[in-house]
Amino acid sequence: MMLDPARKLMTPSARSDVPPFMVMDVMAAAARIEAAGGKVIHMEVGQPAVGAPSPAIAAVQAVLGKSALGYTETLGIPSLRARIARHYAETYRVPVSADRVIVTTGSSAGFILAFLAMFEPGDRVAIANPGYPPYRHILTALGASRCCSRPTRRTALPSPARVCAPRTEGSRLPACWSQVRPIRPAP
Amino acid sequence: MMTPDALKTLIRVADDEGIRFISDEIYHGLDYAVPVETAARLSENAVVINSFSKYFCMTGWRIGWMVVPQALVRPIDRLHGNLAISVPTLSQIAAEAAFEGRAELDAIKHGYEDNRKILIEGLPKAGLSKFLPVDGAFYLYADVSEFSNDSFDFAKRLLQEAHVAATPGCRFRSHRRPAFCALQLRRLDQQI
Repeated sequence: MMLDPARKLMTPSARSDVPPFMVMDVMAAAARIEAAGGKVIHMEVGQPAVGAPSPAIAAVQAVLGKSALGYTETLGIPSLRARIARHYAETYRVPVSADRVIVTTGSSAGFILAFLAMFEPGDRVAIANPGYPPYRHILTALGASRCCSRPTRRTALPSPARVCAPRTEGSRLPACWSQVRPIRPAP
Repeated sequence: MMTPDALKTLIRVADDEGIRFISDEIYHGLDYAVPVETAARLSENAVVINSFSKYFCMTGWRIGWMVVPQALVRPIDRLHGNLAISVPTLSQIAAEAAFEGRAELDAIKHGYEDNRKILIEGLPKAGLSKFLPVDGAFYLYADVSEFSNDSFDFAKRLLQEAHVAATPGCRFRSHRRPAFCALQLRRLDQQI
């Protein structure tokens, strides 16, 4: 097959055709109203009202200009991994070994790494609905198919038959609130 | 939010059926109504994902963590090393120290609790009386299907006509499926 080199250079991959993160579009529309002198009550962005706690700021100030701040171990600075492991002991009373803790660039990178390490292209993945839209969009970009589940009250429990039966989007699947449930096809 | 029992059942089913389970626990620490359980207690097969962005208020530092089964540590190490080398050093130093700021962070959480109360009491007066349980995080998912079957359109009109910015839940033009809009609990005290 003949390829038109110029066209090939300009065509984005099909997998890149994911929807934008919609909240950013709402933010932009709100900003336009404010620029025109309007007042907007902002309830669109899920971000804390304030910044990092003071011990975090102090720790950063103590190293800035004094440390080369080079790369760290890929899995994270060992003392931070140990501190996170201790967090599980303190907060949940559950032992978690520090060597199972991996530091990531936000949960966004955590999802990409988890999906890459756990799924093959074409695997079916069930996710909560309503839920965080980038789950769907990352999975689309990675080539895993997905199925949505319905919103439910917190007491709703799924049954294995309902979770595992082949479903299409819009059919009845049990929801789990703020959880992602990957489903592998039965062998 | 899932109750500990619901999470336990779900994970047991997943383990029994050979279904891999990822638990997004990013809003842990910001819970208001039911006890919070971590999937890390319930199964060593579960992958837990968490972040310093929400409870720890470190959104722009871009730092989070995972707890993974032992068998996935090295594969993720290889992937991560190739994709990103490592996580920004400064953010890691800040994150470790952030654990010492729990008192400040808990005070901020109480502010969200106050805002939650304002919304739960105020929204029904504004005609939005159906919403999912507001157990945690800083969102409220309101059912807007009485006004629209398209949450995008509703959010757009809410912004244009009432100057309230909310995020559309999903874009299904279905009469069977409720349309949801997400409202967040931040800074309400200053605005309502």
